[in-house]
Amino acid sequence: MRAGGEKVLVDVTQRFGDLVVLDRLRFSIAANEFVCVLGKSGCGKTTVANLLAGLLPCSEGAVTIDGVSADPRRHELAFVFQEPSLWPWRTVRDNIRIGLEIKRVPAPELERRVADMIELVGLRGFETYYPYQISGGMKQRVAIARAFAVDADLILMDEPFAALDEQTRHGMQAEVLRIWERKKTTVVFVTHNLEEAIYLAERIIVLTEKPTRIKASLDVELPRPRDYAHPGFIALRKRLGELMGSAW
Amino acid sequence: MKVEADVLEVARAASVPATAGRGRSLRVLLHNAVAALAVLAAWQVATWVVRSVFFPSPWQVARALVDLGLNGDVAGHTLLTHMWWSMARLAAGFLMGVLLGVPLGLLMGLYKPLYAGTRAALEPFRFIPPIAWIPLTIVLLSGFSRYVFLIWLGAFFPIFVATLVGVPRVEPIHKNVAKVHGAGRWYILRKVVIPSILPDILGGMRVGMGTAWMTIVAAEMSGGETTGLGRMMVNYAELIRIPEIVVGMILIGALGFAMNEVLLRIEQRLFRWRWEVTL
Ligand SMILES: Nc1ncnc2c1ncn2[C@@H]1O[C@H](COP(=O)(O)OP(=O)(O)O)[C@@H](O)[C@H]1O
Ligand SMILES: [Mg+2]
Repeated sequence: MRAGGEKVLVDVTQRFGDLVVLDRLRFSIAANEFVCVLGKSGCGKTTVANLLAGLLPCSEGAVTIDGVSADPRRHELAFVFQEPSLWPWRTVRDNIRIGLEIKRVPAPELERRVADMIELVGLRGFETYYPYQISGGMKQRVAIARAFAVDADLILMDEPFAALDEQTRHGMQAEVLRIWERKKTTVVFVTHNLEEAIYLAERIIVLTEKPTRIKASLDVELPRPRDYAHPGFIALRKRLGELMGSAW
Repeated sequence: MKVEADVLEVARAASVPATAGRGRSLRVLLHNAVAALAVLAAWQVATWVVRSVFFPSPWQVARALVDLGLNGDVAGHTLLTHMWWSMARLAAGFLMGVLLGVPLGLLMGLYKPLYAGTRAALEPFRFIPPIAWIPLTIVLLSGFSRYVFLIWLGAFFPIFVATLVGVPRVEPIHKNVAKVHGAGRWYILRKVVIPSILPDILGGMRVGMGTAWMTIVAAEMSGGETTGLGRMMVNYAELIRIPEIVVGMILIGALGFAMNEVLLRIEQRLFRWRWEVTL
């Protein structure tokens, strides 16, 4: 379901030295949409996420959010990184606060939102644990809580579950959907995993190899919660496999 | 919610520090007491073997310690006075080392051209031992200021260098977490860079403390004032009173050890978030 107009517009070319990573990559995202960007390792998915978050200046072109060039100081952005990103010197609770703290959310409101997120991701009782004391799955849950704690215009998730075991990953995917349905925010979720994309996305943007363009953009109209054994799921998986296969 | 597996993992992680509890620390204490007694015994045996009037026994040194503590030295200064002055000079010089070393290390770590451009002017000073400055400072400075300057020289570089090399090692991803939410440089410096390198800084402070402590004794031996453990040792060396000199040696060792322990405790409190604390 796509509501509202286009919230995010991307039209970028990205080079690192002589290497053209993104070649006039163009797409748009509607408000409250859950988009998966699917592509193989090294095709530039992290680069796309960094551009959307304003962490990297575009070589050419622009990313605009609500008509304004993407800028962490003007927009509410959030990012769940591929690598471990919790601050090891802060407890679970204090890690979740970071975004709110930077945006100077007043104390009572901040405390309420942190408590809400802790509840929502099931970390009650672990508020005062340090990152080294919790498992990989819990760490990623903290990172997700931190991202959803702010009322983000756009949440970026860069293969957040790639390092988790299969079982934990499935649990986390369901959890992300639950939180997204509750909070209704715009999410761009980057992955190289076909099933993950089908399970999560309202729309899947398939990338080519470098120099990267858009191979296809597919709406996923399967009922939720999605079932891996559903014929539609299997058909889409086959279709994506072909798309990806022909690209490499 | 599937938390059971996670809970087990948490329990496992939390149980590691828990085993290092009361029982073990008591045993460690006992081991250390035994080791200290063994050194004392070896010393005693050595005095029987050497049999020289210039090689004092533990007993003679203990008597000298009590005498110096209660009645003071030839000039009337008690041990406490000497210790107090040594510590005061050390504290002043060390504090200056921290106050200059940390900000300068941060500044040069954050603005690489500043370090690259001043390297050749700055680095050679690092390799001049503080003791090599003594002749110059005898001429230029006197008393307290000379001691503080020499200690500052000893403490500054380890602290400065530890801070400097720590800055580029801050995880970029930790900074990006703040940047994504629109944090400014000041926030990133205070909330990311400094917490990240605090362990490095504390490590540098411990090294700096060691150098400072070695420098204070040499500095006091250079004369200028009548107090300080180094001064006291020189006074008794002139009188060829060995037990009193050994008292000075032991106190220097013990005080250095105590100060290092204090810094270690501070580290352990501050860095509970770290898996291990460096030694
Ligand atoms: N800062 C950079 N400097 C030079 N090359 C880079 C940089 N960041 C990414 N690249 C290159 O761009 C390509 C895409 O990288 P990345 O976006 O990390 O891919 P993905 O996340 O899809 O695996 C890779 O070939 C990588 O080597
Ligand atoms: Mg990547």
